Amino acid sequence: MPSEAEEIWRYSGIDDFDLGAFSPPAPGRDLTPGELAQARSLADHMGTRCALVVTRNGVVVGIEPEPGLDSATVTVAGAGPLGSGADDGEAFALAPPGGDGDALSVVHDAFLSDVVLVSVGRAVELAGPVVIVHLVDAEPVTSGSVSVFPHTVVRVGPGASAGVVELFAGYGPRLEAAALVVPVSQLEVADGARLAYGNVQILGGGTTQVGLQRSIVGRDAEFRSLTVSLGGRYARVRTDSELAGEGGRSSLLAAYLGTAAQVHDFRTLQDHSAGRTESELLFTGAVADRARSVYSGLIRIHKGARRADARQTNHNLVLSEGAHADSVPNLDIDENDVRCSHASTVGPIDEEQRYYLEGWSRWWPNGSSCSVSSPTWPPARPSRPWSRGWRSRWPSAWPAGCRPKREPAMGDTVRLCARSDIAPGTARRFEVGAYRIAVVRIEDDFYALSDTCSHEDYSLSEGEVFADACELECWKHGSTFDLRTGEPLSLPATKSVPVYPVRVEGDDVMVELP
Amino acid sequence: MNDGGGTHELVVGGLSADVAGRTVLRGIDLTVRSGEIHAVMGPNGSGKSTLAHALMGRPGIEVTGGQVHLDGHDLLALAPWQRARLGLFLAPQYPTEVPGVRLADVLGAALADGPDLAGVIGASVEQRATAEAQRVGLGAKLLERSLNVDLSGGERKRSETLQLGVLRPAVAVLDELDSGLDVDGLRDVARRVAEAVGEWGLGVVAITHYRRLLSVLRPDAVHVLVAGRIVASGGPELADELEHTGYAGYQPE
Repeated sequence: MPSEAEEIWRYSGIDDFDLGAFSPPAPGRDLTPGELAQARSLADHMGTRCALVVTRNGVVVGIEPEPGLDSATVTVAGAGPLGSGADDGEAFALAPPGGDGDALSVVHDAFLSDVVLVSVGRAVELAGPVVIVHLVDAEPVTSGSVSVFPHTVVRVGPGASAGVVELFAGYGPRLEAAALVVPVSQLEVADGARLAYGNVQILGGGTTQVGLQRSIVGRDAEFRSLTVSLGGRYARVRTDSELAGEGGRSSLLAAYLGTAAQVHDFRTLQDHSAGRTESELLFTGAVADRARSVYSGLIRIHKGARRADARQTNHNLVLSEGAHADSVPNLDIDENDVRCSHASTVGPIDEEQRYYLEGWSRWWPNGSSCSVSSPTWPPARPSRPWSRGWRSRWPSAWPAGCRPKREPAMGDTVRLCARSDIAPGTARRFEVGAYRIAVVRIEDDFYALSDTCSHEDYSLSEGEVFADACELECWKHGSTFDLRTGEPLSLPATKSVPVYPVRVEGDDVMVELP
Repeated sequence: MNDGGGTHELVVGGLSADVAGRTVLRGIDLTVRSGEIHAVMGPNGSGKSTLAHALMGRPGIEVTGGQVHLDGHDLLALAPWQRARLGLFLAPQYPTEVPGVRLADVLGAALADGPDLAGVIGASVEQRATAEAQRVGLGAKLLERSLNVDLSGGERKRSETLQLGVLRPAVAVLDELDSGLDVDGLRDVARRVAEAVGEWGLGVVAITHYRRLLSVLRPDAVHVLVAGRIVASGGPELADELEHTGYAGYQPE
């Protein structure tokens, strides 16, 4: 099993997760007419569709194409994982585990029962989305709690255009009972194709979800996704989007709201492996009560991906004292001539805005009511060039209510992490507004200094900590810096880096910005 | 908010308040009933805006004495939203920008929350908002925009008045509703507020420097606020007099 010591599971609470508490999926049964009606009415919220697929605990129980869906060019099917029902001439290849695949994806592959396949032929344009409703019933099983492994494969052929919405919903009388849901969605957008993909999660309050959305986007193709995460006890979604062909574009949006003791956990990868590729990511959410959210994202620009353009933004509103959000954006750039940016904010609602809204409406009855505006679904084709069209819409994609107070600024004292998040003798990097800060722990003492070496633009936190000398070494050229003063102690650096006052309050490591 | 009938009474007694350790209000007495228009006039720095925000419960204003009751409810013990729910409305002098929140959405949220307006509205929120926008001379497309973002000062005041028309509060505190407005705008919003007094018996506390708002919104009483105290009260003629003499005659001892 994975552990929280791994970056990809940091902050997740996975150490407390016990896979042994769950049983493999029970044999499926058909839906009652009432259940089917319920699934249809859920799908109706997604607007006019061209087909409906319903699964119950991972087993396909209904496929309803709308009249007019041309079965010669569009396949909507459900079948066992070995491709017995596939009629597009190919077996259902499962998502490759990938170099850093989650342990739970392996469990998924071992236990999955059915695969939903949506395959859209060359140059076909679907009028409405294919809606897939995954119902999860925490039904009694012989031992432990139920586990469910939905799997969806979407293939959009060259030049085709399609929309797919997946809805994960808890139902039945045991909404609050424990359940494990491990969905995998494999989304392939061929050269020149377009896919608009929605993933809405309203699972029951006892559910643990560990999901994977993996997309691969071809040459001049376009992938747009919107993930909405509202339910579950612990709900994790990993979004990996590879831009594999020249000129491919992806837009990844997510909105989430955590209440009670919910945890929403997002891991994203914008993987640029071809030139002139473009990705935009905006994840916005709010946490109330004792809820937590985690965002950890990476932009990776591979060698050869010249003129790649990647943006990554995560905004979090913390609506109550007991709520908490962690946000860790990262870049890994292996090519020149690229544009990358990332930003994240964590903060409460601006007091002035809150007072104003309270004062003339009755808008704040419980201190956490918050309406969230999301981009229109399904997203219309931008009438302007793709990138301009989307960029200009970003400001309106703020979660309503709801602008984080402001960027952390001069004089603020900011909580960076818990004491235990940094092992003695190590350094870690934090981004606070415009500041990049390396925090070093030596035994029980903490030091904070600017993360950027004064010599060249390298991250000091990736260097070695010399605990005895109280120094940090830049890994690139070997300059060392005094942790107490920021002074350079060896060449090539000749200028000091800024140091910041740190203090530990209880279990929290706090830094005061200059 | 207003239940569409009955009379309401806002009673302020001996209200004193500090801001940032400085005493700004020194014992304000004021009673406003449904259908009454009270003007509060005074020079810069006399405490007019502090009075407005103390009534609504702005964080940072420390009430050091006195009471505020609306229909018998002790407002000082309540959060701003609770005061709003009882029917108090504040149109602030500088309406705050709230990016990402559409005016139409907040109006909808405000009205959706609670059954007390159900019988009064008789039209959808959108219909009411569109009608109110027309009455104050605002384009209906403004309803789709984020609250106050990129709005001119005059548009913000028209927007505040629109909100008042949709939400139908019992008592409205208008903090310099006339500032930032041109002559046409001033006439539109003042007329709308005056009509609200007739339509549902809105009670009004109109805070202003100038008499021009009061030429359309005829006050029943005018109070002169100087250095945190009401130093004179009278009828509409007091506003006319102030227009000529200024506040020089009302300096505190």
